Amino acid sequence: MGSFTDSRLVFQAEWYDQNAELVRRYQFMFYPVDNTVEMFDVKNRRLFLKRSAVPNITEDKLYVGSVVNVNSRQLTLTGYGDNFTEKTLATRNEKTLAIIKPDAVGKVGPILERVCREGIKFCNAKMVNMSKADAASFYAEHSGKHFFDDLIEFIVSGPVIALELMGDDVIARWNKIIGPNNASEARSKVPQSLRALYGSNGTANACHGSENPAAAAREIDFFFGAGRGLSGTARLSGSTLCLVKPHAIENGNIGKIISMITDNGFAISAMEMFNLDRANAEEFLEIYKGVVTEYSQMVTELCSGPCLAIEIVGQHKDFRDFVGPADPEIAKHLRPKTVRAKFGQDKIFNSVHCTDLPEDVGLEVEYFFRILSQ
Amino acid sequence: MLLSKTRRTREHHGPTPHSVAIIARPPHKKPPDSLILERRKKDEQRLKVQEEVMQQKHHDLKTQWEKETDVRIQKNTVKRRVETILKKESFDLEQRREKLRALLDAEEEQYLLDIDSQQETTLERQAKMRARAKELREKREQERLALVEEKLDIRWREECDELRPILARQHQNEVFAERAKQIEISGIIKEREKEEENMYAALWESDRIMKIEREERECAAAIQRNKDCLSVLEKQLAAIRLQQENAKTLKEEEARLMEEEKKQREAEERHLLQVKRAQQTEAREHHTNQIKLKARRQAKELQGELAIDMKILEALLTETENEKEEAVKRKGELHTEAQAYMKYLGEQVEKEKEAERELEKLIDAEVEKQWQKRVQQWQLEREARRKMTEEMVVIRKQQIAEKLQQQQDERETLLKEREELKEAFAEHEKLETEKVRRTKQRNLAYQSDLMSQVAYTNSIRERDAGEKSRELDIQNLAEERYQTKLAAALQTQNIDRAHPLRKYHRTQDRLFG
Repeated sequence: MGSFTDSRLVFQAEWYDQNAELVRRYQFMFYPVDNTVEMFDVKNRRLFLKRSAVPNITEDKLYVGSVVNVNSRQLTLTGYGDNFTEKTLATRNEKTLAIIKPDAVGKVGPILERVCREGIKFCNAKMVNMSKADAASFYAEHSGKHFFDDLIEFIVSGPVIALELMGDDVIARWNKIIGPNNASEARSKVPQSLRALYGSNGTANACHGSENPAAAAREIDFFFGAGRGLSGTARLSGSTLCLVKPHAIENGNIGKIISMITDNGFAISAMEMFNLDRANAEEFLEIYKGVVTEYSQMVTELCSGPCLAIEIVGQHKDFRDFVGPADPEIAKHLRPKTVRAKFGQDKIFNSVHCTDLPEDVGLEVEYFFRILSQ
Repeated sequence: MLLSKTRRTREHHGPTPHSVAIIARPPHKKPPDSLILERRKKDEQRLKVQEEVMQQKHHDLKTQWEKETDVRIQKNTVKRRVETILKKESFDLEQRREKLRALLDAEEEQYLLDIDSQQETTLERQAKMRARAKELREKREQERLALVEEKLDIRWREECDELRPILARQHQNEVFAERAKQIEISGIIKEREKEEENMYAALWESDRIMKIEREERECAAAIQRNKDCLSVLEKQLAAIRLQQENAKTLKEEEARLMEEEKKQREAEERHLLQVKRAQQTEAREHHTNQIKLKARRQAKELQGELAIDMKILEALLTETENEKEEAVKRKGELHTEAQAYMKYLGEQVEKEKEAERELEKLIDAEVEKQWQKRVQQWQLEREARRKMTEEMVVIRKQQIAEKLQQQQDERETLLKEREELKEAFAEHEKLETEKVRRTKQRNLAYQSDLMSQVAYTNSIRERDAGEKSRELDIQNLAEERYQTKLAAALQTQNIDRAHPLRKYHRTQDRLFG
């Protein structure tokens, strides 16, 4: 980072103005020297925000497609603003698509732990059921090969989790982490690779990773591109919602949290990553307005970054007990084995949100997996 | 058709003249108030239509109102329903919030209760303390036992006669080996120091040689420079001399040229004078000839005229012979007349001669006058030329004088320059000698410096050698003392507390050999 001391990063940013109901475009300039931000209104050709310090924005949070909060405005960075930024960040913020295949969906926790440990970031995640047509078009490059039918059969045999990963030279690194294609070969050559640990053979090899940047872009578009209607796996009944808050994802605790959930006998039936804007966060947490004093901070926290919504199969009460008291201080004291006791910091940054009222379970699950998912 | 139709009038003529009856007017086909009736009818119709229109408007208004009202009613209903739904929603939300609040409160209370219940009672605390005390006591007992064990072991070691000599021997061997190693190391260090010193000495020597060489080089360069300068000056002097000679020859050449020019000019002038004299005499002869010729021509013409007159008279005399009488008479007359005429002619000739003489005199005067004029002109010309030549001679003299002056000046400047050059040369030589002297002095000073440095380093070396020998003595002394100490220490040596260096060496030995 030392090389950027005398430079700035420039992005194109968009902000949806709810009052005017239109998208405004800005140039977003970030000065890594003192973590200050400057914004320039592109349409009106004038300075929009003087160079000023904005808390919670750091250099590694800025990449194309990221959502940042500047003075309560949610800005989406849509592109690089100059060649320098593109040159310096293109390799640093490389993206790849990872798929956790049906045989390894149960091991999603350890896999994500491994990803966090390697310092790779999540930009997007979704658990989907692929139809045969989807799978065929996704694996179009393998059509005609002898293992193609087996592969398709395997992929559609259960839900898969698609992850958009980002980091420095992430395509090569992810391919190294998952190891050789054939699980048995992986076991003999790279015993610590994910395929060696969780795969069983050449087809059922636990994970998928993009081969090169072009393939990564195509595959990311396949899963997360606008207008892609891959059906989610939410069952919307007999389930409860667990929302991993942005700070937990930021701290890299997501893998541990999911491991803990699965280890304690809760099945995950759906999973998706969302970037909530303020209105949505307020709407989602409206029940807490006036009930808890930390409501507005909770809203701010919830829209400060991506959050992961998980649909848990099981009794709401059990899960709530498992998550623990809302205040991590109390949780550490009384229920040291609960999620919030382990990963929470205070009442606002308590790592996960869990539905409190039994009758709200349906509402909250539907809010994420039916309303926001569309 | 009009004609065929009988005229219908109402008059009815009776049988008697002037019996006329008028048929009563037939009654009107239309009743008399037909217009009024018609009008009324129209009015009625109009009114009817108007009424219909009014009614229509009224109906329109009604239907419009009904429609609008319907819409409004519908809107209001929707709004009401939406409001009720929203109210219900908010009510529900409020209810949910209430529930949530109750739940959270209950939970918090429960948690607080739990925390309270977790707090320990006095009895429990006492039990805990007791347990801790017991634990501590046990620990201390164990420590004491370990210490006793150790002490016993030491005592046994000290009291065992068999073990001690062996240990002592071992220890001695070790110490000897180590000492040998130490000496070896110190030898290596000394060697290294010596090498370093030698290297520095060599460096210093090479530096000195280099400096001397440089000094020599500089001296040679200075001498060469002076030589170069001298040759340049000589060359300059030769050049100046050559220039002077050239100037002298040039001057002589010029003088010779001037002489020649003067001679040529004089010859030219003489030639011109001769030519002019010849021209003048020629012109004079020509003029006199002309005047003589003119006088002769005029005399010839006069004689011619006289001859003609005589002829005519003779002719006339021959004609008058016939008339003799008359002629004799007339002869007398004529004779007298002729005599008068002859007399007249004689007078005339006299007159002519007189005129000729006068004319000649006039011509002579004229010629004389012309001649005088010419002579005067020549004199003027000669005067002017003389003046011009005089002026020229003056100018020429001036020029020559100037030139001479200039040459004199140049000669003077040259002399002055030469003087200056001589002075500069002398100055330069003086400086050179001064410089050489100074460098010599400096070199001498440097030599003396170097000598003193050498002496100083020698003294330092001697002092170092003395110090080293003293150090060696001290070391030897220390060595002896160390040996005695070692012998003493062998008595009290403890196997558990080996010297760290020794430990290190031991591990090294174990590792490498």
